[in-house]
Order: sequence, then C-alpha cells, then structure tokens
Amino acid sequence: MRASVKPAPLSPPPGSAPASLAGASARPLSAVDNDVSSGPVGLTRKPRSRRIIAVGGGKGGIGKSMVSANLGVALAQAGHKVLLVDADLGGANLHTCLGVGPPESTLSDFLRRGKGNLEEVMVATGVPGLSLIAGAQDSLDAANLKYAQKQKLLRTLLAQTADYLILDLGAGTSFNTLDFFLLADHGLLVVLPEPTSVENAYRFVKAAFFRKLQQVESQYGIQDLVEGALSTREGGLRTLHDVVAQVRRKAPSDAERLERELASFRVRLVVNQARTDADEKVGGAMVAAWKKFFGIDMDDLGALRYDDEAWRAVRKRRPVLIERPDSPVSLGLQRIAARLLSLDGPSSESAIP
Amino acid sequence: MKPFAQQTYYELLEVPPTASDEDIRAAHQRLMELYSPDSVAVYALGDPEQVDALRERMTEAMEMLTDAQLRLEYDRSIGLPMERLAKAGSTPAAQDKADSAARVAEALATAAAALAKAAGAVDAERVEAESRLKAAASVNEEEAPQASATPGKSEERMRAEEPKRQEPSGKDASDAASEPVMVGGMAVVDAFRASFNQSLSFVYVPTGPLRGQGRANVASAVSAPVEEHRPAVEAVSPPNAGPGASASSEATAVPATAPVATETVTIAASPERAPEPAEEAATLTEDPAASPAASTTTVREEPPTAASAVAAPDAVTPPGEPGTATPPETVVASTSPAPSEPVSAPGGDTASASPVSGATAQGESDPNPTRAPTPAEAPPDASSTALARTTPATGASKTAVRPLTSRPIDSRSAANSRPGSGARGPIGPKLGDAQVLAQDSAIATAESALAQVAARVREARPRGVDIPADAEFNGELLRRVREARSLSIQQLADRTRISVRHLENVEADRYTALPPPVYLRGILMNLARELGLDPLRVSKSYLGLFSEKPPKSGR
Repeated sequence: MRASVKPAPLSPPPGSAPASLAGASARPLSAVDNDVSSGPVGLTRKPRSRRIIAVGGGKGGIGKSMVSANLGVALAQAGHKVLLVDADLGGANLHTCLGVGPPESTLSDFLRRGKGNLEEVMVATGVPGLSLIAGAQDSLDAANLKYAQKQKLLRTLLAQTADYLILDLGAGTSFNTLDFFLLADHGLLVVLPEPTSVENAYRFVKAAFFRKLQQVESQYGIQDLVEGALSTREGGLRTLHDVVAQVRRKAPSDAERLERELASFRVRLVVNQARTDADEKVGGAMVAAWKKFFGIDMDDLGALRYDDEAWRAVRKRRPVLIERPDSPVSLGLQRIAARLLSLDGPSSESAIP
Repeated sequence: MKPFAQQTYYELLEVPPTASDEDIRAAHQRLMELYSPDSVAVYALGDPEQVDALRERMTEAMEMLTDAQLRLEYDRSIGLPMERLAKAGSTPAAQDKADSAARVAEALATAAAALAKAAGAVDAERVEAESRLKAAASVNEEEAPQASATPGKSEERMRAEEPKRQEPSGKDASDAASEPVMVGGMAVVDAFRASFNQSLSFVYVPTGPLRGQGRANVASAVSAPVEEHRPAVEAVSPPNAGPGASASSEATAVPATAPVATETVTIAASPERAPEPAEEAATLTEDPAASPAASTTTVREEPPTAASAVAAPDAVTPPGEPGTATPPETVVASTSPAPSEPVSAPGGDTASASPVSGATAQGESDPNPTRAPTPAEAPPDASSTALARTTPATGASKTAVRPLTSRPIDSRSAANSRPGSGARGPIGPKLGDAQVLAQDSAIATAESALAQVAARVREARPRGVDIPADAEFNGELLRRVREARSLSIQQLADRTRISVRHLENVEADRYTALPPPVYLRGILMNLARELGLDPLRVSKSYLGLFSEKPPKSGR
C-alpha cells in the first residue's frame, strides 16, 4: 500500500526554512530584535536532525490525539524511532489513547522540576520504537506555559534525535499551540467534514500564518502591518497578500524571501470521520479553496473513514491500528503515514546527519 | 500568490489555456459545487460576499471562455500566444463561417484599399526616399489596380487575409452576413479593443487580421460611401495633404495596414474609380482653399488601417453605439460625408481614435471645412453610387445610404468643429508602404474619407494618444478619457446607468467609497465600454490598483 502512494508534490527540502531564517537573522537589525521576538526564529538556526509532525486542528474532539497516537504507531511499525509528545498542556490524554496508564513522569516534571533531560520523562508505550512524553496533568495551570518554559521545551524538542517527533497539540489557537505547530515540518491539520470544524480549521491556519509573520516581521519591517492584520476581526488572511505586496514595495528581494518562507510552511490536511464519499473530498476542496483565496498551498493527505472500530478501540484504550489493523480507519491511517514518509523522501534516515 | 480578483479566467477555473470548452464547463461545474453556499469546505473561509463574488467571476470566466470570439479576444488581452487562436479558427465550425467572413473581409478590404491608395498618393508626394522606391513598385500596381497587391505587400496581405479567414470563429461572421451593420459595429469594437490592448499606437499589425472579419462587414457598407466621396475628396486631398501634412512619419504599423487595404481594394473593383478620382484630385489640389492638407496627411497614414477599419465601423456604428472604439470614429470621419450624422455625434466620443490618431497624427492642422464642401458636392452621385456598391458588398447598404443623405450636414459640422491640428503621429517611416499603393487616382477617393477621419482623429487624438500601452487606468486617466470625449459625468451616468456617485468615486480613486470588487468590476467594464476603452484591460488595471492600495481610511 505504501508503495502505491505517489510522491507528494513539493515537500520543502529539510532545513530550508531554518536556513533562510538564519540568513535573515544575521542582519544586524534583526539580530537585535531577535531577542525580543519569539523563540522559534532563533532556535531554528540549528540544523534539525529529524522530522517533526505537529497535529492540530483548532476544534476539540476531532480526533487529534487519535491521529497522533496511531500515526506514531504506524511510523514506528515502519521501522522508525518515534517520539510522541503530548503538547496538549491543558488536556493531555495521549497516554490514554495508547493504553498507558497515568504516567509517572510527565512533561511538567521536565518543565518545572528541573529534570534536565527529556529522556528522563519518556515512557515506553509497548510498541517497539514508539515512546511517549505524556502531557502535564498535575498542576492546574499547566496549560499556561511561561515564555522561558516554552523556550526550553522548544529547544529540547528540536534537539531530539528520534526519527519522528509527533506533537499532539491542544485545541484552540493560543500562541503556545501555534508555536508548536509552526515548529513542525509537517503541520497536520485534522478536520471533520462539518462546518464547526472547518471553521476552526481555517481560523487555526490563518492564526498560524500570522503567528509566523509575527515571528519574522522584524526582519521585514512589517510590524505595523501584521499588528493591523491581527487586530482585524475577520478575513484577516486576505491581507497576507497585502503584507507581501507591502514588503515588495520596500524591498523586492525581501518580499521574495518572505513569500518563500510563507510557502515553505505547508499545512497538510487530514479529514477525519468521513461518512460519505463527498466527505472524503472535503479535504481536496479545502485545499483548492484555500489556494484560491490565499494563494497558499496546502496538501490533502487523505481522509479517514468514520469507523466504529476507532470508537471501540478508544474504549479499550488501545490504538485502533493495533486493535483492528484492517479496519477502514486503520487502512486510512496507514495511507497517511505512507504519504508522510514519501513526502520525506525514500529514506528519511539519510536526512539524519 | 495572487488574490482571485486578479487571477486570469484560466487561473480562476483552474484549467490550462488550452482547455476545451467541455473542460471549462466541467471545471466550472465542479467549482460551483465547491463554492456553493452550503459547501462545507468553504465554510468561514472568507466573507460570504467574497465567495459569492468568486462564484460570479467564475461564471463570467466560463461564459467568456466558452464563447469562441470572446475567448479569442480575452486570450489576446492577457497576452496568450496566438497559436490557439489559429487553431480555434481552423475548427470546422469556424470554417463554416469563414466564407461569409471572407466576403466581409473583402468588402472591408476594398474600402481599406481605397483609403490606402489615397494615403499612398499622399505619401508619395511627401516622400521619403524609401517610400518612393516602394511607391514605384506600387505605381505599377496602381496601373493595374486589380493587382493591387504589390510584391512587397504580398506578405502583408497574406497575413491579413489569412487571419480574417481563420478568425471567423465567430459569430461575427455569421452575424455579419445577416446583419451587416450591427455586426460590423460590434466587430469593430472588439477589434478595436484587441488592438488597443496590444498597443495604442497604430500598430495593429497583429490584431489587424482579426479585426478584418469584424470590420469586413462594416467595410463593405462603408466602402461604398467612401468611393462616392471620392470625387469630392479628390479635389481636396492630394495637394493639400502633401504639403500641409507633415511628412511626418507614420508609425510602423502603417505599412502593414496599408498593404491590407490595398489588397482589399483590388478585390473591390475600386480601381476603376480610383483613376478618375486621381484626376479629380489633381485638379482639386490646385484649389488652395480646399486643400485640406491636414486631411490628406491624416489620410495617408491612417488610411490603410484606420481608414479601412474605421470607415466600416462608422457606417455601422452610427445606428448602434456612438461610443464605440476609436476605429469607429475614424471611420466616421471617412464616411462622414455620407453617414456623417450618426457618426458625427459619436465621432466626438471616439476616444479610441488613439490608434488612428497616432497614424493620422501627422500634424497637419488643415481646415476641415474644405472637406465639408466636398461631401456636399458629391452627395447626389455619391448617394446613388453608394447604394449600389453597398448592396454588393453586404446587406449593410441601407445604413450606409442613410448616412449619405444626412452626410453633408454632419460632415460639415464635424469638419468645422475640428479645425484642430493634428500632426502628432509619428508616421513617417511607414508612409513608404502606403506610397506604394498610392497613386494619384486612388488617392482622390480615399482622401476625402481620410481627411475627415483625420479631422476626427485630431480631435480625439489627445485622449487616445495619451494612453500608453502599459498605462494604468486610474480614476484620473478615466476622467481624462471621458473629458476628451466631452462627456459629462451626468451623461455618462445616463448612458451607463452607473450612478453619478460611483462614477465620481471611480474617477477620484476613492477606493473606500467604492463597492466591492465584484460590483466595481462590472462598473468598470461598463464604463470602459462606454468610453471606447478595452473593458477587460481597464477593469483589470483599475482593480489592480484598487486591491493593492490599502483603503485610505485604514482598517
């Protein structure tokens, strides 16, 4: 099945974004601003050694954790070393999806208790090659990550050596969530074929792009523009064109770089709980519409059929991929995993220095 | 990254420019579903109006692209290579219509030819060495009018003719047959637009052929009038034109057009008349007063292209639309003697004249009055002849005839009004070609028409000329074009049914006060049409400015 997956179009070359960022921040002006601006910009200067997949979606209850967990399983089964990180700081439950009991150590141990290294809080999942860092659940304010904590976490995550790092994000469009999302090589956007979810998904992507703009704004002298756009209530992303156009007026080369940077971050859609064939096409339709409206490419990774097996598997607290590997939803998950692998090239290991 | 408001129709429909009609319809169908109001995939993607606007534009795109003629025009306007056009033309359906189109083209050609000859004559007088050489060649031809096509010109002719036949894609051709007049008008407009897109300057060469079809009808109608005029014209033209007219060079385009015209001439049988006119012309030339030098000058350059094209349109247009493109104006001028009435009124409008004007531009500021007389003289004969000729050419004869009667009056008025000097056109270089064709005989006929045209051109020129090919159509430019046509905002509002307020806002570039792009686009298209500009180009250009400038009020 994997072999039949056709190579996906245009996956950005690994490390291309960081490289361009690094180049940009070498400029004197931006170097100063960099201290103030958000972390990822500075962090991404270091070469990455693995792929990060962030799974988000804006709305809650759409299967982000289910997708994360099963994707982790699928990639691990494909022979990769996978680290699942429950970045849903306020509502962590990835461990439950994987059938791991309440974990002894969690992300908050790492963040607050001075555990120096992420390995100490990793938990085995019972699936070879797949380990988990469970989300914080002890402290009630765990969702409100402090800036320094976030920096530490981001930095550490980037230094991980697993083949794949999968970040299971929480609902909403908080900066914490967006920053994790933007950190990823593959920003998976889970969406249900229903208006509420689609609405949140669009909002999430818009927010992500503006967060991205914010991270680079000082390099292009577009702070005002971005702020104006962010404060606009609706249809904000329409101004992404304006932003680029504005930059172009000042410095064409910058605009080109900015455009490339924006294009280098690709959102990949996963439609979950598709009940009809028409539902399965929603992903493609969203990609087309997004492109039409905002000129930004997304990828449609495919749809997962609505499947009672998935629900039964959760009740058993087992990944459906292990529980019922030949159910429709499992086949869909395998397809998506294969798609991701093909996006990363025939041998993702070779990307590791 | 381009907002959909700026996407081409092909990009909008997400089809390649080579897509067939079926593909386009299928794509449209698919997109309509995708962007339907209850489509979940676009829920909350943008404002509902945006989605509505998108759908509207997609439908417009589909309609444009599945209409062979409109698609041709559109392709041209966005600078697509012409190959597809040729292909389209060769399709069976197109071929069916080709015959009629060809006929029309011939008629046009004849008219054009007459003009060309006249022009040629003038040129010869003015003279540049090169031109003379060519002229010599042409002279031979003149002797054998029928053979009108000179060796040198042959290429040009070929080009011109081929296009005409291929292009027939259109309904134009078929329509033309049935309703010569109306069709002619439309065709002319289209042609004009196309040419306008490419470049305001005279140089239609590329488009020229295409227009041929459209004009053809007109031409046939027109041609008659022109010839009639001849006598009158003859007197005036040659001498005057020569001296007065600046030798100024014509645009390169001229040569190309001229050839075409000549070709047509041969076909048209104009030859016979031509000789006579020439003689007359000679005599006339003597008349100092008559010497509408200006007219002649204009004639030369314009004659080929403008004259032929214009002449036809005018005749046609009068009944229909006054505002149509420049070509019509020019036409009017030429025809004016006969159909002048209708024309004259519209003539003022013809901003489009730019192309023509460029050609005519030469700078002569001859007294139009002279021309006026000519028409008057001619009237009796002319009318009859005109009728006779028209009939053969196309069915348009009626329209042509009508104009004739009125013509004296109109023509005069027009002439008087335009004392202007017009020598602006950079025409010199190509005059040579014209010269080739030009013989004294031919000159006479064409001259009169040309002179009138020239007069018109002068008037119109300022407007048209000012619009470079890459001009941005902002409110200011639109205002200038409007004023050049001496239209008040109120008049424009009445004609277009666009509210005065919108028109004012458009001209003042008050983007924030303007309606959303969807509606604005319609307004601009309408407005541009009324001003004789290319609607697609204007709306594209204006909307480009509209979308890139943040509203002044800020957000």
